[in-house]
Amino acid sequence: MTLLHLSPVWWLLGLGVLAGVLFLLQRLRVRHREVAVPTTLFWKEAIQEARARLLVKRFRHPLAYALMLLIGALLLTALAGPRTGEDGDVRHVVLVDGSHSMSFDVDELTQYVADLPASNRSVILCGARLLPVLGPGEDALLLPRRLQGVVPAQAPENISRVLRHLARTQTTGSPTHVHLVAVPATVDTIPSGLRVHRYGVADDSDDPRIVTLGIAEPASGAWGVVDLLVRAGPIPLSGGDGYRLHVEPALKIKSTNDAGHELRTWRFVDVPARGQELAFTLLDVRPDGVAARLPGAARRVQLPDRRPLRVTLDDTLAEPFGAVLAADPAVELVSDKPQLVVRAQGSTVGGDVPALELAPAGSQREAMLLHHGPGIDPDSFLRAANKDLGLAQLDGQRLADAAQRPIEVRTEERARRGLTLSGDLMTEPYDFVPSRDFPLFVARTVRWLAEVPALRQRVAAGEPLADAVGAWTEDIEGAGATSSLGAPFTPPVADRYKTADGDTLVAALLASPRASVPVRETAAAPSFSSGSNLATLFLLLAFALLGFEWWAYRTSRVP
Amino acid sequence: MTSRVFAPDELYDAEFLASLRTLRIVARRVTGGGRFADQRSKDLGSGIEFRDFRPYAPGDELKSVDWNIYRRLGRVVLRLFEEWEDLPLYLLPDVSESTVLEDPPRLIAGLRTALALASISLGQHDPVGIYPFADGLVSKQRPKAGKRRLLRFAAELAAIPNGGATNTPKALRAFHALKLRPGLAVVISDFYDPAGLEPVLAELRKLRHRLLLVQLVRKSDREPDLQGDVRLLDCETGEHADVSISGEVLAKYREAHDKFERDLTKFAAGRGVGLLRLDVEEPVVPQLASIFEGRHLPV
Repeated sequence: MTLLHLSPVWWLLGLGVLAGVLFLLQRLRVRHREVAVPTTLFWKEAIQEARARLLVKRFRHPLAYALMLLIGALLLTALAGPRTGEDGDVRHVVLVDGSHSMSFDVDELTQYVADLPASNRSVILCGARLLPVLGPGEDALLLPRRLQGVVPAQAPENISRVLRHLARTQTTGSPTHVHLVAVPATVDTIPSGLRVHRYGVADDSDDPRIVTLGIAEPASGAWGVVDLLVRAGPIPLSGGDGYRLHVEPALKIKSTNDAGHELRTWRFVDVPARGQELAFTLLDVRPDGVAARLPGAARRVQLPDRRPLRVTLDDTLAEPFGAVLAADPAVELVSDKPQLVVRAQGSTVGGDVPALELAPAGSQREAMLLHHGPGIDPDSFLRAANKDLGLAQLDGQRLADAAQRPIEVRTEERARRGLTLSGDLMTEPYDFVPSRDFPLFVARTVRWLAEVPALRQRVAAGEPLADAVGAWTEDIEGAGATSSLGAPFTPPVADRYKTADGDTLVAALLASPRASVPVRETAAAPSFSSGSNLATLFLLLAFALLGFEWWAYRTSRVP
Repeated sequence: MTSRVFAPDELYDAEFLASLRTLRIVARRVTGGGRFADQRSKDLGSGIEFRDFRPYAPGDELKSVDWNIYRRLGRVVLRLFEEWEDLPLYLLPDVSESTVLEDPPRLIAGLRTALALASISLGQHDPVGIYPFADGLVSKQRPKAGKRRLLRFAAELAAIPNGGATNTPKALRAFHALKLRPGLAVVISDFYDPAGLEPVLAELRKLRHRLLLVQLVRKSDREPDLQGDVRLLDCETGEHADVSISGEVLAKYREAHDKFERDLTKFAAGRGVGLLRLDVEEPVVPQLASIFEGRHLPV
């Protein structure tokens, strides 16, 4: 029998503490309760008779103490998580390859881990750093939550390092079984003496697969479209002309195809983004024209919804908002069923939708009053709005200097999101309208009101960011990855990055968790005994003994 | 030493007093006129039951002359009849601390028993005397008769001071020393004397009176409701005994108690003494009615 939550030493220590506490309580328990009786005639006779068996009398207290100690020990053992039937001291370590090229079904992996003996198993994610995601005794159901949101990082040397460490630390009486959830090519050599079980994708790493799926803001600057990047490999330099990329639904977009060093890149520009899902499959077209779908070469991606925003403009505000809105490719001016409205404060134009309202001059002290729905934290809302509206880019200092007063922005709770602009900004000396900030502000406000999510570009770590332009970036973790102006940016590790303008996140993520290739093992799955939990049995025993102790006390068999 | 004061209506409520009338009716239905025992006087007098003849002496009443014998034998003789004497009732209620300790106190049942028996005797015009005892006789009162004295007896019983240790042999010796006219002595007690039962029985044997023992008992006497480690304090002597209640100790206790009961019963049976075990937690009068079942006092 093994204990899941306590080592034998701690169990013994706990038992010792319990024994001491119970002993003290037992001493306190032996306190005579005074009872007045009509006569002690008969009691004296009874005591005299019983005194002859002094040893039994003295022994009754230790018996009661031993009974309570046994009950306490059973409860302590039940809490310690006793298990039986497991494979002795065999240690099971599950190493999960955290690189971007690795894809596995989390539910299947969870089931696999659950079948291993709980007391001696651990799961380690080998990415940019080693991340223990499941410790001994922890329930396997914790695995999906702990793997959620994990960013991939290619660091095969970490896996090899862990294998060497495990080989060094395993003992004769406590062998280690390593369960490798990784592409076989990730690990070159397995240290001797270590038993390794492979669990993962098919061991046909020579076949090409899609390794990168990228979505970027369109280089054309148009609204409602995105640029796509697909990269596959390794593709042999010779004989590689038969590889084709199949897209479903088909894209009527011309693509370019770069056959580079073991990687082939396809670029799709101005792909209409309506929130639809695209599936990319790599095909091997043989000389006879028959195309075979390569295993591990299918990926899906969800495009953002970039349809134009339906906006209604109050006629009284055609000047100055009309021209700006008409020039915004993300805006479609409509007269009914708008998604949002630009109107004068107090007007009912457009109905009950998010609105940019203009307050009459002199009626509002704040330059901007941001409205949020109920239950929203005002501070968080203001911080997010500051970023989304690009308020930091506004030349607020100029406005404040011109008006000789601070420019205030405040939040207020209302039924829905909105923004009320002070009419003072439209007048002298603010002159907000003719400034270059005004169109940018209106465009961002419209997108903010419609709650358009920011586009996250997806690239693979270790690969140059296609069409990267402009000065780059600092990564949020402070790794200091930068590139010189004009040079392609190559993220060294999978992580989130912020561009210079502060509002574009570049993230490297695993491909769609819905793997299009079913995960299968390369070898017959070893069977391990996960044991039986004895905690319930120990609890029942403890309660049964408690019931016996109560009965014995009531019938005066124990003091 | 504690003393408890009882209000008369606490001891003798209306229901109890009504039940006394029922008890007297039951008693009268018994042959013998409802007396507790035959009390045949040594004297020959003018009763209704013929006993003997004796020669006429000057001064004798002529109505006692047996004229049939004179006609036949020519001799003047007198017919003599049984002379019935009254039967004094001497009540000895135990008023020691042990009778007031528990709830309900045994003393209440004891005093009710005393009053019930007194009501019967008073109804038969027999004198009744009360001799409460604890550590010796508490008070002495000459026997008095008369039906109308019942309520006064009730008040006197209620006013008896209670509490204190028990010394039954001493009390019985004092009672014996009073040299009262032979009657029926009723000892109403739990008989829990610190000296044990034997000295009590020894003094009882010396009494010249007919005896009726009313032992005041309750269920917990034999089956005490005690658990764990207890210090038992004797309410009269103040002695204590530390006991770890166990099954074995309880068994020994019951053995000692049963022996006590057996010894008392054996004494009563051997001496022809009436013994009534009165449950103090049950109504007193129905239990006393059993005295009149048959012509002999219950043992």
